[in-house]
Amino acid sequence: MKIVVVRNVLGDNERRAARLRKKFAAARSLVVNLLGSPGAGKTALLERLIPMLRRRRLSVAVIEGDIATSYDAERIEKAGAPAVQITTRGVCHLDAAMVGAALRKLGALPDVLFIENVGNLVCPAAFALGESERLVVLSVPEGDDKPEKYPEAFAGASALVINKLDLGAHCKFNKARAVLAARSVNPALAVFETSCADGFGLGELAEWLIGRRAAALGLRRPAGTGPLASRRPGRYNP
Amino acid sequence: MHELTFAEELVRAALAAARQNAPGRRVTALEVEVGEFSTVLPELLSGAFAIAAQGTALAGAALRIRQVPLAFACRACGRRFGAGLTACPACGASDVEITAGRHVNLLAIEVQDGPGEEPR
Repeated sequence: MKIVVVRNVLGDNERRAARLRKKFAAARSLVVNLLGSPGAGKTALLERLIPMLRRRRLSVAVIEGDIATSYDAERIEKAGAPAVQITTRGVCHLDAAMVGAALRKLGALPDVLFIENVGNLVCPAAFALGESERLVVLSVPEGDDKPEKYPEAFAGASALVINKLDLGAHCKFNKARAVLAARSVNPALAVFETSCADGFGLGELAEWLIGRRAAALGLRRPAGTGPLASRRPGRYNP
Repeated sequence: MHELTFAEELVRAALAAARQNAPGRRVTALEVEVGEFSTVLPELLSGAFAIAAQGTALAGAALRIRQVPLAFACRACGRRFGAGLTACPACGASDVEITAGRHVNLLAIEVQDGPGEEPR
């Protein structure tokens, strides 16, 4: 006898994530799930963004996901934001239940909450955390073929951050190839190019985040923010 | 890498469906849909399922997996299309939503026929 079920296997996580999303919306928090390989520069990006957002009078907090150590939470606190470290002890991704537990330690929700996922371009893509934006960080030394090799991470993202542009002269990284591959699994993907070593492109990324929060809250979008920062000529983009 | 997590959830969902609809009967097969972009590899899921099913009413059940490709719907004009394009082929808009291919779904379970039922 056949019994029809039709059920998302990760339905429990999806339901927990939906509850978190409601909670974040009620607190008027922009919540950003940050994905990327180990060493892509996720923490460095946050170290740069935190002071920029705080200068715009937005409160910021970070939930740090790592398999072990609290090194990243310490770096974030030095950069001026409260941080809660989740150590997953071997689990390769964060899930909504872990984020829910971390929130109880965090206290009041900030204007912008970053959730830095475990460094991994595969598994975190499958688990919703209730976030409003998903940023995937790809650094130039990793290679321009990563969107083709790990398409899941790019398919579910709202923005791609190509980081470590300052190393471009040392690496053969074809930006057009990476962006084309990422957009062919995600046509709506916004693209940013950054260097945390010298601050390049971080202003545009911060403005985009502020714009996304304003849009979610129905506030007027600040002028001059667009998702196509990469088309703008600049230091690494003559 | 994390197929065991999916396999454990799959076992929980199938056991719940069996308990609700056919209590006490052995489950002989599961029909599962694996999205091409779900981060799950069908062969690894099969192996993980065999482990997760051990000692339950699902032990030895067959896992029938169907792969589902990534699919989009254009938010501007409603056109549906597959991966490989960077904009809607009908109207050129890039504001699209993913309609399939990102999840693992349990579609159905098959249970042993009970007494008095026609065998199929």
